[in-house]
Amino acid sequence: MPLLEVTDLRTHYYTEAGPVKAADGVSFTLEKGESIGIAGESGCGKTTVAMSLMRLIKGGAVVGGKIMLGDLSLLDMEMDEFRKVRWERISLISQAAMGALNPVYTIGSQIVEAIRTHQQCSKKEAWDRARGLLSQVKVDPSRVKNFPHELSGGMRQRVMIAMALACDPDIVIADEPTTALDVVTQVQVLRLLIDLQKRLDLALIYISHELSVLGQACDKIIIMYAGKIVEMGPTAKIFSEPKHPYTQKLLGSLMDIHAAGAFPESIPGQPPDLIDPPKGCRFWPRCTTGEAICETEEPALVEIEPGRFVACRQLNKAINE
Amino acid sequence: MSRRWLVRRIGVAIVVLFVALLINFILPRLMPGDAADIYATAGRMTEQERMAIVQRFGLDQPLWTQFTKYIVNSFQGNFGYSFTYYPSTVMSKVVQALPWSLFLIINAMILQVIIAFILGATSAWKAGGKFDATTQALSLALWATPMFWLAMLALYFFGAQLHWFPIGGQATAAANYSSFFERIGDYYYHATLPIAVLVINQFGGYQLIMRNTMVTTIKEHYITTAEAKGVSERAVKYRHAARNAMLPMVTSVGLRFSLAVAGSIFTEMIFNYNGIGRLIFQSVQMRDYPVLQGCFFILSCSVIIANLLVDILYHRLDPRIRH
Amino acid sequence: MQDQEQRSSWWQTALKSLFAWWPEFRKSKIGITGLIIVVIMTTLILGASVFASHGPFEKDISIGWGGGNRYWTSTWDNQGDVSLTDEGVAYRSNPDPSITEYHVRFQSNGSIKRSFDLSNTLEVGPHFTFQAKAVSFADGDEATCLVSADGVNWRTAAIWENGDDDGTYHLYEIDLTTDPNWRSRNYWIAFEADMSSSDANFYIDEVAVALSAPGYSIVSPKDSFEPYAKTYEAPSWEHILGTNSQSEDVWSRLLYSGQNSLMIGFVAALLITSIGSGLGLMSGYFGGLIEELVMRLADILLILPRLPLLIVLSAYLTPGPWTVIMLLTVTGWAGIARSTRAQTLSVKEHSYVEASKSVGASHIRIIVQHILPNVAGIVIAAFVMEVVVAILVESGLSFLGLGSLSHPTWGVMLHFAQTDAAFTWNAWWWIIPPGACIALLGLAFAYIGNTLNDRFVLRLGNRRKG
Repeated sequence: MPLLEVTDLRTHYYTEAGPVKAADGVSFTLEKGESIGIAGESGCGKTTVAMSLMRLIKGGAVVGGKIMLGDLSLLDMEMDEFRKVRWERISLISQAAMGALNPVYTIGSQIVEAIRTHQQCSKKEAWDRARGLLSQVKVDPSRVKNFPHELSGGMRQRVMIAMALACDPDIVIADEPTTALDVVTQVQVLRLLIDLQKRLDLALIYISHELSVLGQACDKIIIMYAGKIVEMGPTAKIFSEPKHPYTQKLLGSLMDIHAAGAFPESIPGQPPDLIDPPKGCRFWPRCTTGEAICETEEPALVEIEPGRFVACRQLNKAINE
Repeated sequence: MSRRWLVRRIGVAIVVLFVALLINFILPRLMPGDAADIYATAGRMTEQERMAIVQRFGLDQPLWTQFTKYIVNSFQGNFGYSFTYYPSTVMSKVVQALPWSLFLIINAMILQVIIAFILGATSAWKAGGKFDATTQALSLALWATPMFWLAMLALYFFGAQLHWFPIGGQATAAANYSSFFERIGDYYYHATLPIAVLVINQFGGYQLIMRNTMVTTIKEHYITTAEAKGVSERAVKYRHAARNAMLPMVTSVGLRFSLAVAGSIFTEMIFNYNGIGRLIFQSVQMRDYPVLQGCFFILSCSVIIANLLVDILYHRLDPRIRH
Repeated sequence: MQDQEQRSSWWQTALKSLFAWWPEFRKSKIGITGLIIVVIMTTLILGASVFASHGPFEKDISIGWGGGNRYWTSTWDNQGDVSLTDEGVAYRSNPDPSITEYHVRFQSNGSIKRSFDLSNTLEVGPHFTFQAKAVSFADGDEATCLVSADGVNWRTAAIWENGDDDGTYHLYEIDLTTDPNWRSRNYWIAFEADMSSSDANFYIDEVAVALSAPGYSIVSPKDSFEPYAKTYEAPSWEHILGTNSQSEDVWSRLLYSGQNSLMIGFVAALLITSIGSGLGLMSGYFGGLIEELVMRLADILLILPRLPLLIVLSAYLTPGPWTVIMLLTVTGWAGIARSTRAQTLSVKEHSYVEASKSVGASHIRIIVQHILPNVAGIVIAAFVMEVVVAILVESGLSFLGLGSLSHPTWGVMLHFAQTDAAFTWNAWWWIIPPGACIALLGLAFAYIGNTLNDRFVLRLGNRRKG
């Protein structure tokens, strides 16, 4: 049994113009100690998936699907029960540089709060643990009484990571953890995260719009487009032989620093309106190889080889034939 | 807190104080008649006493000398004599009254902030919901209600009709208190209605600030973090969101202090509460200009000081600007 | 030609920006509620002459007949400064030197005709006898007693000469047979006084009436009536909100006072917003010395406690509606100046303003075309809120006795209610309505202002950000 099993997850946001179908039938599994990356353009629903796992959707709701953590059905739990799952089982690393830490409390007290919410221990123990966590993420433990604004962006991100590890969770969701950092710090934070994931045998869901980052951090990659998974598979395979036209374009848009003078290829067009998405394949309007049938018939996510899923009618057709 | 900031802030306070004094100096001199009459009602004083005042305030000298003498006297706390209560000095009347007013105002403001904190946080928590709409409509309605009218109604219903509270005064007349607590209890018993009226009429302003800040605060990333941590809803709402959102409300206490002062004038008048407000009302009726001016000056002082204190407090409350 | 076209489009932008709030505003329940209340109240107040049951300063002074519940009402020709004390003495307060003659008239109204049984006296012809006492005349004053069988044709029954103010009763006798309508069973009686001196008083103390015929004893029982000012009357059909200590109709006073409250609130708010936003706009746009001067002045005004300042200032000035408006304006413009300046500054940063400048557009044109539309939201919302504040502050000052008594407002009504101890008389109808009117009008404007703020100003802020 996988650690986490997401089946047909549907999350809508409510707007005046109608519900925005931000996640529309997302399914995947996550094993213990496995790291999985979710990539896609902004607005493709990758953060929505993460927030749905934490049941933190605001201005909308999870309208369908199932999320199983072991034998717990997360979406069916009472909120009071579910709060115990948060952080204890699944924790979240968000962009600390963008204000994910509360400015009026010291970083120590914020870590202590996380510990003492879930575990019975004395204040002193909790503070000691907080110091320990800080040294684990290579932040000087004496900084425990500092306020977030007294730390650099990179340090804040490390604190955020330390906080996420405070209750020994099974799954850590990292939502664009390095995005707002400068390149050097990005690399350091990323290394730290990878290192900790390996060492603590964490299951990691890494969300980023940068495929290159996911390539370093993850065992498995999910490519999302307009609220749906278009391709999913082992990292090496995704990079070496991308199947879906969107994945191919996404990889094509990566800046290849070795190919001097070659500008990255951009994908023409805009992602579709998710209030009233296209009837058929959602990528069809931007796809260069699409056929007439793609406009009306929605492609299913099909396993083309073990652990490798693609949602493209042309590929599936090729395989079926 | 930087020293430069503090010096600048105190500088502003001194300028405003100076303006208040200037107003007090100029107004009576625009009136027709002998300048000495400002301080000495004709007929009530002997010629000797009158001369002493003319001497002291330099009333027979050029305007500039009068002004400097006026400033010096002001800083010595000398504002002349009351018309009505001669030979009481203005200062003695004001000093008697001030503590009672501050008692009302400070108690009322603390309650207002607490109520606004809870209501503002709660209505923003589900912004646009029923509770939010109701509290907003209600606090606007209470804000638009004249304070003195509210006080009259409160006095009539809870004082005169139901006899729940005394109908006037700030303490039981000629009371012999056996303990400190009995004394304080009696003070609060007399102050209940005035404070309640002040609170009901004025909490809306704070509530609006609290709510509007809270609405933006709950969209912050750290609120999501707190929720993700599995902290209870109450803790997210108060410990994380409201604690951050309260800062603008707390700063507004300084500026709104002068509103509380205005409110206390009416409540004291209606409840016969012997504070500055009632003194002002009596001085208006008797046209006791020196006392009126003394009250204006002392109220300006307290507002200025309150502003200063709140600014300093704000610097303490928000770690981001402390450095 | 092109220039003309452009000019008209400026005005269109300016006009459009003035009403840009409406489509959004329409969606707000609370805002529409406020608007409806404002419209209803304003209609009632401005149409006071239609909706009020009594004149603006009309006092209802009545004389009860036989101690019963029938009344005589008074009408005052030179109304304004005549009022009646609790004891029923008509006197002039605040003598107006321009009015040299006063006419006071007590008259029975149609529903309280007194009927006499005249059957026994028909052959011989009845005589109408009455005894009356009128007190307090000055030289040259004269009072007349009039009788009428139909309420239309009046004849003089008796004249009090000046000097007859010694408080004694005088017996008057009239032969009713000389009246063409004498067979009427209902008689009207009225008293009229013409007074020319400044301390004129007219006071009907007591009147006893009897009918008789020559040679007969009195046929109908002696009846008497006493002057009775209808003070502190509870609400009735005649006075739907009762009367006050001055025997004025509270409902009518409420409407006429509303005119003054609304006028002062509106004009003051208009001055405050135009001066405040004008100064704010100029200091934001031009900067420099103007800005420094205006903003420092605003800082000082914002810190000084406004109400105590207003009290001190108005204690030294002669009260009147324009004094109040002037004082409210002088002490109230700072807040709007500050917010307008901030908004102007942020608009000025925009590239299109820079662009217009570089093309050489005039200051006026830039202000009208670019700045004004962006500032309009704040200014309109502030204006609406300022109406509430002005009405509230004015009522407070008036309540303290610093308002204009010549143009009484709701605050003045409450001032008199307080000084005349209305609650001791349990006259809630005199205290609750004026305060409720201030509160209702205030909350209606506040709802409108708040909605404008929410839907327009904040949105404007968002648009600026995005």
